[in-house]
Amino acid sequence: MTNIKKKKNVIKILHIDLGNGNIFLEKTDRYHEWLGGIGIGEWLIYKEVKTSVNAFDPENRIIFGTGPLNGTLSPTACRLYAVSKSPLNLMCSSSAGGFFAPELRFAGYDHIVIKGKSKKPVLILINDEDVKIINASDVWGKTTWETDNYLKNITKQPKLQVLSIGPAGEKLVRGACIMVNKNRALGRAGLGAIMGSKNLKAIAVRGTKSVNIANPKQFFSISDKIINKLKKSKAIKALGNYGTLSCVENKNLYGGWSYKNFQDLNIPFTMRKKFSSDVLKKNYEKKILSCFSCPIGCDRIYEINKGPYKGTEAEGTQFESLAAFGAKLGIDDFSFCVKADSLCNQLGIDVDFPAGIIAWLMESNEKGLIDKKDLDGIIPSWGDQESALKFINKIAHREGIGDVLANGALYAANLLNKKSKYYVMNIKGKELYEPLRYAVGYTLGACVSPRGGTHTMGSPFCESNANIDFKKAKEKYKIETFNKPLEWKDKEKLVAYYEKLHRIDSCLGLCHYVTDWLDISLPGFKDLTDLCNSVIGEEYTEEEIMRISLRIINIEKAFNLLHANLSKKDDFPPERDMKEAVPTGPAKGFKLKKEKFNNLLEKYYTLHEWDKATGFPTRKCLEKLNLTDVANDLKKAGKLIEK
Amino acid sequence: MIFNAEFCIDCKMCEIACSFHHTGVFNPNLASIEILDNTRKDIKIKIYREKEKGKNNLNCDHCCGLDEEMCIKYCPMGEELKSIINLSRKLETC
Repeated sequence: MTNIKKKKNVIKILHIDLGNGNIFLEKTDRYHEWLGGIGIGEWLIYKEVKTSVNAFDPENRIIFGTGPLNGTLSPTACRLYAVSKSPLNLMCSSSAGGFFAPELRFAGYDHIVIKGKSKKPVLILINDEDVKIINASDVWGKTTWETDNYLKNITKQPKLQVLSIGPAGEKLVRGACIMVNKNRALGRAGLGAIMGSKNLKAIAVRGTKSVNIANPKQFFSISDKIINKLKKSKAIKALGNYGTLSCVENKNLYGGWSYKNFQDLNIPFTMRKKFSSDVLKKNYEKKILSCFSCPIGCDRIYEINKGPYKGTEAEGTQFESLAAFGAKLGIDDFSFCVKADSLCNQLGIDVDFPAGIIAWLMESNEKGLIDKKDLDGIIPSWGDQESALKFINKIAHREGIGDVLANGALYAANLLNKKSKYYVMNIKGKELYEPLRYAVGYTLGACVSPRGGTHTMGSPFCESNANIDFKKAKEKYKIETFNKPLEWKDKEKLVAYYEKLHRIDSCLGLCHYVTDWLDISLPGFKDLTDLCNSVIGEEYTEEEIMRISLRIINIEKAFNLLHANLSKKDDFPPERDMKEAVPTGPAKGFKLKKEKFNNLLEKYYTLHEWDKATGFPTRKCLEKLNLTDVANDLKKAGKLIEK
Repeated sequence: MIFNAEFCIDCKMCEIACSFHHTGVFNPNLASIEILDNTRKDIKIKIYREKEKGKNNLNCDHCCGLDEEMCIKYCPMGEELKSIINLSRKLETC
């Protein structure tokens, strides 16, 4: 592979030091080999955050980034990225839809790099060139929704776009997230706690400038082609009809639930009936909405008309909340899921974080491994909505036992009863959302993801997609097992494809849903490369674009080896998934045998030219990617294979 | 002219497409159509027409020179938006 020629794409980075109040704008073309979005964000974190810096130290950075497509008419160009060293010392990037990213570009910025710690709580207000740091004492302690309203009121700008943290972020809860436009979360990485550690409550932006494109004719030709593909896609149509609840039927068909803390991956008939996507749409859907420049419309406002949560209204409740607060806790009531989701959004806490902790508490209680005296007198049992809501509040406010739980389930299990650790379903210390024993490739993607258990950084969806176009899929994936979820062969190749593709859409500012993830006929590398070139006026080849994605994956790997001291054992599934077979349903009898998983992991490492025994990168691999300095960093730490 | 738009999913593709027609760049602030979405539950659409002096004097010209209005072409609910655009033309003529 040749090195990428120097490109001319100039990006604008707004640097803000909260320690001394310094603000300056950097215009640079130095990051052409990182493309944009998470590419630039993760490289800056790798370069600027030393291993001696802890996540909550002022010297840690949090970076908010956009991609070159944000602000254009490119379908789904709405995603905002945040990157930081996470509370678990991992390289963590997280993405959210909504309207903040395009607004930031309309204000004239591609990235915001924040370092330092303010002495007092502050807000950052951006109005085109005018960037101010102001006192946040009026909203410190308030919810994300109150903060959003406050900022719109004091600026008298209804079109202001706001990202903020709630009480959970202020109190450095490990699973705190950052809410964007009230209902979109930069979640699963604890980035809300990083903002809290800097005494930064919110960032608000209003922009009135324009976003230019280099080659409009080419842009509209590709963009129109993609829009037409989206219109024809069955999977996208279902997403438009039901939101992300459209995947309920597939989860039933393949057995992809997390019932009672993953005891089973199949749900009981009564729950299945209540969780049908048609029933949920009929009973709860109030309005269909979308993110910026997205024709799909997978966002929803749900409204509760009866029962204890009557009057609750929430935007953005996803399938994830149904799985996490419904199936995982044994609660067959969607109105509870909407209530819990809405509460989490206001408190600024990631849905999967309290759900994972509560599921572990419920199972530990069932197995007699926990004493209610240790839990402020609350008995957590399956299906108990009241105790679940109490725990969410306690965790977010670090109140009583919540102060222990706020550091995560593994930390709490170590303190309360080490025997209960088996029931902490986690990868790399982070509470797991993903059911694993029903699809091998999906599992591998979640296990090797740098931020610890996630299905959006490499997990394929094709294994459990009943509507896949067989011929096209075979041509693209070049393997026979792409639609056989319980087969092991060649699954590393599927993960290698999607971890690269998703790094690239995350560099460009696009949503995963516009790619061939859910539907093989949607864009892959070629369309994304052409779209990118038409906007920034470069001539990246597909090979160069893939090389950028590999550079990003290797940076993540190196960061986690250096900062979190990860090793091969951290890339394995939780013990339960390796020891216990799925009890019922389509995946009945299947488990992820350790030896088989080890073989798959070694094939995956080999594909990356990483050492199969340790997972450490080889010098050859890093030098080919022009990452010699990174190889040298790893060498010093004894984490490089010299071959 | 302001119209109720229950069908609108608030993606703002009409605004950015419109701005491109008028200016050759993407900027929702330079469009002759505006989504009023202070509450995302009750969305209205404002069309800036000649009589009303739009933002930066950019008024709807029905994408003069093009086969179809850009806002309608890119709206995921194009047929519904078309009725509003046509109604606005009628109302102005009256």
